[in-house]
Amino acid sequence: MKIYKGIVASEGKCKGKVKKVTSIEEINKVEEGDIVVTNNNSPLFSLAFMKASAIISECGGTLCHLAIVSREMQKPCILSVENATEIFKDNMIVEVDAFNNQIIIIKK
Amino acid sequence: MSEKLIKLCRVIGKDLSKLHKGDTLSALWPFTPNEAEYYVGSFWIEQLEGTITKLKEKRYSRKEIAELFGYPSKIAQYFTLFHSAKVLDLKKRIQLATDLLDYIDYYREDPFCENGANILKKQIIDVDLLDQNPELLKIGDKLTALMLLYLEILYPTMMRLGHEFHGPYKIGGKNIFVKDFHNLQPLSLGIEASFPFNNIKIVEEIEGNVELDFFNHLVKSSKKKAISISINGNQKNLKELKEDLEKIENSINQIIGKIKLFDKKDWFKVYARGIFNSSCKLNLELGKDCKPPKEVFKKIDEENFSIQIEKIVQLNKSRAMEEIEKITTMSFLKIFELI
Repeated sequence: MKIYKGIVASEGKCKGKVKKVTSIEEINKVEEGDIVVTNNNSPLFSLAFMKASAIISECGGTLCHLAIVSREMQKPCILSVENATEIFKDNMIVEVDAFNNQIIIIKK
Repeated sequence: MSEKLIKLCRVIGKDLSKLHKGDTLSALWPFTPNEAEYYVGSFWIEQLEGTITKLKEKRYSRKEIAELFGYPSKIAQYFTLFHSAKVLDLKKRIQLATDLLDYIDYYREDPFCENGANILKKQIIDVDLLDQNPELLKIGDKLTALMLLYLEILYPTMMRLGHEFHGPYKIGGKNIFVKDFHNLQPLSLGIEASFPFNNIKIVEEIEGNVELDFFNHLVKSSKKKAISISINGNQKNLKELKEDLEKIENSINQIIGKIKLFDKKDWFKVYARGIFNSSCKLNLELGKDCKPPKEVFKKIDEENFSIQIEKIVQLNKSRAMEEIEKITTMSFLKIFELI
């Protein structure tokens, strides 16, 4: 089982369905509880971030706005995960363990 | 004064290096701050310096000028643009930095927030209004997150132009943290739109501690025990807050709908309007408007400046945080010719 890592921006742990959001058009496919995977921390994706149970992003550091926002929402958030949008595909089930900086694919 | 400026450069170096590490210099969202500064920075710094000088000539006091800014973290954020201050001669550059530090000092007990707290000298907080209702606490979290995302749209990479987080204050044995959101109208976007409220204040009783830096980055947040929320100066109950939250969500969604096709140059213009607007009150005192000069938009429309983001990202990733801190500090010291 492969473990993916990044920079923990907000601690927490949850399991959920992946929804890849790389453009504004993809925001609507996100449902409450999904895990949003993105390559762009744009605030224009606000709605998707608000619905997500956890956030994985290819970019950002511990003090970027998304990190601060996810801490405020108390949602697990791991940033700077290399190639996240290539690795995690829509509807995969993943576990985000942001206490231990680990992302695991549960079901492909 | 040079001692204070040296300290300023060191604090900036330390706090900005934390931002750089692991980050991609914000390169991956619709806009890169460093590129935008190329178009806007020198115009804005020149105007700010000129405006402050004129106000001083008109015998405005330190207090009167400081109060026109409204909040200290907004002023601290201006220092991130200071590489553009090279447009001014050294004497003016030093004077502007000294004045801005002095205005921050007017508001903050510790202007550099060195111990991780942002304690404002004048603050009225009513802890009797705090409520432990879990639903209210949840609304507070959601409201904070929404407002931060919204402000990042209005003031890309400069969202402290629209909020001030301050505290923690020890009041009646409680640890109190305050989130003030201001400058909320979407004037920087250049579209027909409005936001339903002008200011939002969230007062929280927190369990542990929070940590803020000079720029008001929330380095560490804490669990909330109780909360009170006021909007446009009016204390709100749960029912009213639910309605207001819906209004805010709808408004943000409408705004996003109107700007979703913005390209990079549009975002540079948002950045420009946001910065010029943030010092609007100073201009109004001199009977001037708050729009960026036409030259700013001309430069954005006609010039194509591009930095090699990927190279910088890769370079920074290979550097230790201490190295980034040193380089950043040196670059600011050079602005004031202190090395």
